[in-house]
Amino acid sequence: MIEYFKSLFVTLDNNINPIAVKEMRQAVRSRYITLLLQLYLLIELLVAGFFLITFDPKDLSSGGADLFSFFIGLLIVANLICVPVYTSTRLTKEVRGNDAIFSSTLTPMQIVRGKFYCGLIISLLLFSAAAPFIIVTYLLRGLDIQDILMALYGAFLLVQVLNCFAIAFGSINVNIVMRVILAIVMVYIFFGILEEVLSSVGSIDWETILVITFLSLFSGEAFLTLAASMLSPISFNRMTRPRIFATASSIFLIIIASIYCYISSKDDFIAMALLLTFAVSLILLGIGLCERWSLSSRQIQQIPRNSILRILAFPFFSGIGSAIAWFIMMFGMLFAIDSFAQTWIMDDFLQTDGVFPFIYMVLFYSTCGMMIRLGIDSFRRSNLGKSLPENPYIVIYPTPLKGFTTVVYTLILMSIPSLLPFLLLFSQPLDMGDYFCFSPLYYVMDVSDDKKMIPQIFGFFSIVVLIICCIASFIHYLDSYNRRERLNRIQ
Amino acid sequence: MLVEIRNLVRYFPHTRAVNNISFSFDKGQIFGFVGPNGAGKTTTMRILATLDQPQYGDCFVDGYSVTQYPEKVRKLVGFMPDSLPMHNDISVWEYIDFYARAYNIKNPTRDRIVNEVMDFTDLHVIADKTLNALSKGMKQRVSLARALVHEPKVLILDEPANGLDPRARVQMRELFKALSENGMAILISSHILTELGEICDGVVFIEQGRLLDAGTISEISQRRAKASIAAEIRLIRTEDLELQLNQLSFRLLEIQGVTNPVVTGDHIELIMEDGETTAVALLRQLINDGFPIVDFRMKNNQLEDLFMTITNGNVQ
Repeated sequence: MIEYFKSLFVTLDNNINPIAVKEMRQAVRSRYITLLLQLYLLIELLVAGFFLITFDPKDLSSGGADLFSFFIGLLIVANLICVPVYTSTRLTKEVRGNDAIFSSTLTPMQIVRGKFYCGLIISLLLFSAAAPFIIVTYLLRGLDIQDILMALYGAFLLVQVLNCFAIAFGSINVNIVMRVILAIVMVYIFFGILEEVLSSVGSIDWETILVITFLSLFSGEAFLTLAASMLSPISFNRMTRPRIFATASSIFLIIIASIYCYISSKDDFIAMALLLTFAVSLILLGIGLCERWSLSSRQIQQIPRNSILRILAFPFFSGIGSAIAWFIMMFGMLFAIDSFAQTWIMDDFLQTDGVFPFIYMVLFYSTCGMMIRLGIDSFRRSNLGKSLPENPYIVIYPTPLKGFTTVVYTLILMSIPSLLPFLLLFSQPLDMGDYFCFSPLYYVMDVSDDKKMIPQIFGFFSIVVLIICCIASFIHYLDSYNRRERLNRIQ
Repeated sequence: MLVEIRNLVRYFPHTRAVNNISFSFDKGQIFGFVGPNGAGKTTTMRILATLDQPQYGDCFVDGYSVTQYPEKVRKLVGFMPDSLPMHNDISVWEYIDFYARAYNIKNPTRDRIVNEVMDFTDLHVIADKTLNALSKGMKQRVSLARALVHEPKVLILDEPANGLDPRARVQMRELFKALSENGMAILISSHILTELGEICDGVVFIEQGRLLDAGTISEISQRRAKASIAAEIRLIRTEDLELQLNQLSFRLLEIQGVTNPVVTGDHIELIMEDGETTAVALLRQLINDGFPIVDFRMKNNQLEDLFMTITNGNVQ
């Protein structure tokens, strides 16, 4: 019996994620974590003590609820400091310092998952530390056990999603300007969700919990997948995994939503599924447009021999052309489902006011970003490449994130005109739509129908450019395959 | 060849860190990587350790490309960077154990290997100390142990002796020799050339990203040496040593192929134009002349001399 448990322990020990083991060992010794935990417990103790001393026993209807709101808020904030901030800072340090873990045989996914598990365990520790105080709030009345559990569950999921986001954030090796922009976006999203969580205490039903669970699992896994692809070497097909994940989970989500809509006759869920698929497709297109143009030798080796598989694999390869092809594929799927769903259960989602113009504008911005980036690439290549021998797989940018930076800068630069009306408003009254139609803020404003022509023209131009890029890339893909086969035959 | 670097190019925005360099070395060889600061040594080593990507060219370890198959190369290469381990709040044993786990070494083998590596690098005494409590020399040892834990075929060491005291340097040198005798290929960059000269089978000179020369020390010496070789002669110490040295100096001026004899302290330095051929004839003639010679030494181009001859000290 002892031998059995011994061998079981060895097996478990051998299969545990090495990063998780290291991170947990470090967290246990970390003064930062210890200090925060003690501080957290002290604040909870002081607040609970103060509340109990000043508590009026007649106020049994809301006393517990008030204290619970405070505790859950504090728990989320403490988790945010202990988990995402801690994880992200450590990962950033390792990525920037090119730590030796990146020269080990650990896969990027193992690194990312290890970081996540560590965050998960620390957050479980904080939740268990909060448990006695939460019980006090229950005893003070004002909340039933179901509300408490659901709120805790929601908060736990929120923290884990933020943990995943922090890992994705930490894996991006970008400069300080980009970090500030992304951090602002993160804080904005976080406070939006936190407000929702706090306001929904006592009003969450099981359907909402299910939706939140699914969305959390989906977005958490999406962030981890993205982080792993960011940590992968550039010569890899690093976008394959995120695209396969996005495609599979979108199909799964749409199927589940369709079944739910069919049973409950509510179309909210399928509309949300389509919107989510659409948003993910756009995000991955944006990232895809930051990738490099040509294929690495490793990628060329991975092109399938079977002609059908070869065509099907193209949208899942890393590279600008493949990203566009994948987006076209996803958009086609979305369009087909939308058309089918229209006749079946819901209003046409894609014909909703603003959706198509929004797509046009996003495509236009992405195309501009891509063109600027390719232009800079070409300029650098012509300057640096003079003394270099001819090499079809030359990589001028070692990290595609340089491209990512360019695209975001482009978006910011192009958004600047949207600030002009605010300055001009003080001098003379103007039709604000004239300015906003060139900026992302266009859709915040009400504009007349005739102004919608402008994004359509830009959108059409973008689609033409992107399709040309996609075709050129596909030709390069097939040509690379043919060259590989020719070379294999010669050898 | 176990390690081959082919036409490697790596540019940074304003610097040509590595500019079309090629060299190779095999198992059991220790190669020194020598150049002034900013020559591109660290960049080349980082590419070889799969931590960076070249813009052109490639490196091959046991036939695997570092750009195309980094995961295969990582199993074969152990890298000790010039920076010290930055993981805080972790003990030495836990740190080495973590890297053994990272290289997918399962127990009970893992415990055995970790112990062996710690024995080899003499870390058992400090096994329970945290990394942030260690001295620089000890951290270097930990870094070396970490690089050895997966029993790599190739070891890349970036300034391994930097900041070590003389005893630690000697110990580390002995470790490298032992590893090389076990068939490991080692590439070491260092500024302490006297030490490199003692353990290296070959040297690669690099400056401003360009390869200046590569090969064994004797090969480079032969290539770089002029036809003339410097030598020094010592006579037996007597009361009239100075007089005898002056006589020898005048005699040397008469011998063909010998130039510039200079009395320096208790010996004479001279240049022999035809190298070793002149040396044989010269020595025979001086003994026949009755000079009490106790030491006749040809000054080979040692690593430091070669470094000074080959490099210009330019930085970028």
